[in-house]
Amino acid sequence: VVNLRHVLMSSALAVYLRAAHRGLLALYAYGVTDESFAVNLPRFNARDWSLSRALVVNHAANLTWFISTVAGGIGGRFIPEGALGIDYALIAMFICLLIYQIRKLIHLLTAVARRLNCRGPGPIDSRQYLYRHRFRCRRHSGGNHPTEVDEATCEQ
Amino acid sequence: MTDYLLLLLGMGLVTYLPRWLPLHYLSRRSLPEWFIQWLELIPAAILSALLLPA
Repeated sequence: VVNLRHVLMSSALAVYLRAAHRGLLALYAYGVTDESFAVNLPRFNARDWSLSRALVVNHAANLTWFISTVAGGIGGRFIPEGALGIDYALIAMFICLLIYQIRKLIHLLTAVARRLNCRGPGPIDSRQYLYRHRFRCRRHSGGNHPTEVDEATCEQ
Repeated sequence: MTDYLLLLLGMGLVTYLPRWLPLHYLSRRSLPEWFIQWLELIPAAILSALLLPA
C-alpha cells in the first residue's frame, strides 16, 4: 500500500510531461523515486527543466543507489553501529527535500495537516508509536552519541 | 531457482507499474484545473508523511 504513493508522484509529474516521447517516458518511470521526484518536480514547476535533464537526474541517482548498495553490502561490517550520526542522515535528507517543496503557504499547511493526520491519537496507533520510540531508545542508549531528545524520550 | 527469478520479476513489475501507468495515461489527457491544483500539494504531503516515523 505504501507503494501507492508512486501513483500520486507519477500523476503529479505527468502534468509537466505532455507530448513527451512514450519510450522516454517509460524509461523515466523506472527512475521515479521519492528523492528524484522531490528534486525534479520543483524544477518542472519553475519551467526551466526538460525531460532529458530529469532523466539524467533519475538515472544518476539510480546508479549511485545501486553502487552504494553493493558497497554497503560488502563494506558495511566495518562501520560501527550509530557511528557519525548515520541514523539521522536519512531523516535530515528528507527534511531538506520537504523544505525545498514549500513555496506557498498552502504547501506548508498541507505538510502540517498531513503530520497531524498521521499522528492520530487512536489507542493502537499511539501504542505502536511508543513501542517504536522505546526500540529506538534502546538502540541509542547503546550507541556513542545519545542526543538530548532521545534521553528525554527514554525517561518517559 | 526459477521461483526466485519469478518472484524478482513480479516484485519489479509491481513497483514499476504504479510509476509508469499514471505517467503514460495522464500525460496524454487534459486534466481539470482543480485536479492540477490538487496535484500541486502532493510533494509536501508525501515527504512529510515519510518523515512521520522520525
